[in-house]
Amino acid sequence: MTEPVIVLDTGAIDQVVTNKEFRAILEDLLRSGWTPIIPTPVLAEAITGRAADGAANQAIGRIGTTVTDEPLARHAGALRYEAARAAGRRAPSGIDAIVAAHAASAGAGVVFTSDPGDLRRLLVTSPGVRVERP
Amino acid sequence: MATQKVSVTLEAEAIERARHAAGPRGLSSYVDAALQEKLDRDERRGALLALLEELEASDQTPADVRARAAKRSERLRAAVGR
Repeated sequence: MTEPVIVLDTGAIDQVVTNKEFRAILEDLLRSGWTPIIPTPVLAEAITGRAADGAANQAIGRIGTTVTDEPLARHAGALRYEAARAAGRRAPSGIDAIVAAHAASAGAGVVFTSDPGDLRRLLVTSPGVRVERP
Repeated sequence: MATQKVSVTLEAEAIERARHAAGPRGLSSYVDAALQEKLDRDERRGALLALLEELEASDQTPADVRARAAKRSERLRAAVGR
């Protein structure tokens, strides 16, 4: 059994540095053996290429990013399709689906995101994964 | 990449499952990949903990904020079952 994961989505990466309560939560979870993940495609939404990226870059510089391989990308596609079909409305974004696939494949953990709605839809069949704001 | 032959003791059932899962790739290649993944996870966890310790050293978190965070992380661990 692998350790639970802490998946950092858009809006959570910079908070690793700037949000004291979030920092303390992360410390607790890390000391319990949870593993941090930043899926590489999240950078497309989290990074602007400007000086304001400083806090996010500090976190990314330490944790690095986790590559999304073909099986995970396929899993993301299936989650995205199912989420749209179940709700009968627009599909969540591809990047949200990739974030969800990383968490779902671990089987247990938490996704920290500034926009939990679509991620909860994507992870409705993963009871071991929580979706929270930082 | 240089390789080294080592002698380790593993659970017999896990070895059999790994042999089956590895197929033609072979047990050594399978165990090597699993070890690399485990090392990568441990290193990422350690690197983030080090960053959090540095941030805390220069900008301490108040006790009430820590207490609130402890409740949230406890709820999360309970919800996830770990």
